Amino acid sequence: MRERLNNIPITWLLPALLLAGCASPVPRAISEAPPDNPALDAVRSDAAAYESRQVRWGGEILETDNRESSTRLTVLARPLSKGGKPEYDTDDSAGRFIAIVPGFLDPQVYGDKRTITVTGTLLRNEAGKVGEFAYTYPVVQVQDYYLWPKEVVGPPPPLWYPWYYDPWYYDPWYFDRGYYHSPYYR
Amino acid sequence: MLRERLTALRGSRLLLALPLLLAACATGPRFDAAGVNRALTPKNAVAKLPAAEGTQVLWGGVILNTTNLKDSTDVEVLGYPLDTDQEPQRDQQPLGRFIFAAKGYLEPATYAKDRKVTVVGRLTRSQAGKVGESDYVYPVVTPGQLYLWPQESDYNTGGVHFGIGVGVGF
Repeated sequence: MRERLNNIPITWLLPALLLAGCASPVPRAISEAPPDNPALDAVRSDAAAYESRQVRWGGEILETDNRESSTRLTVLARPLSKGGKPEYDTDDSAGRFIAIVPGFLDPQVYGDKRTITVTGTLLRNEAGKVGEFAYTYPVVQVQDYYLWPKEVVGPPPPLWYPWYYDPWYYDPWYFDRGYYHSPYYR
Repeated sequence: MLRERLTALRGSRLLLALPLLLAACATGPRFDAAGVNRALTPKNAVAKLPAAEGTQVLWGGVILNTTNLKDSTDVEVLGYPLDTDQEPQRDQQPLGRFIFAAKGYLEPATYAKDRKVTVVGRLTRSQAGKVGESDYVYPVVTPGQLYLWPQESDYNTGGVHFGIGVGVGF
């Protein structure tokens, strides 16, 4: 047995390792939309027609409300990419919805405009208020969800300039321009 | 013969591409500024108001606060001078606050603090409010058209950058 294992060339294992590196943590229910995924505005205008239908929606978390045995997230919907990820660089939105997630979600984590994608079944429409405006929230009973990692916004990487970091880089003119040759040196 | 024609075609295609490229660079709402009173600013409008009612203004600035009312939305803006793209220049001196009263619902998470807007519309009335404990009278605009500028990222990652470096050696 051992011999047989030893006989497996390492090159056979490489593809497997490479593929493992690609494995995505995103659950399938999130990365693949249910058939005929209902549109948010259609549900908002007629919840009864879509009751208990399966949906996949996502967007920006606006409010996190911890209840006794569940967490209610108010989400501002965003268009989802093919893999179910909400677009973050847009103002495009079909409006708000409420996602009821069983159990406790820490508001310190599930808040602060983080993006989430949920799948679940449609329960009903709920009347709420934004300021004084009467708002209709479609409500999803969540089965699967995925909190997307924070988008890291950083400075652009420096231009590729290998000499900059090379401690062995030898500049033949360096000494000429050196400190002691400065006309300002006294 | 054919070859000549082909090169000519190629040249014309290049010519066609040029305006397309240039068009891609121009941004902004490009509101029709005809009929707009450019002398009115949020600061001086209040004093002229009963008379200046109905005047067309083209104002823009940075959102301070968005309030959703029953069937309209009040957005409080700190006005800034606009550049040729009608974009508010927040590095210039602000021109005072104003409110635009939009019909219906504007999402406060989208029309959020620090976002830039440009509106063209009618000056309708003044409205008394408070900034802290100070009284403040806001000119109110009923927007005909409204443009929310795309969100600015913290770092400018897009576009082409040219730099000129100056080195000093001692």
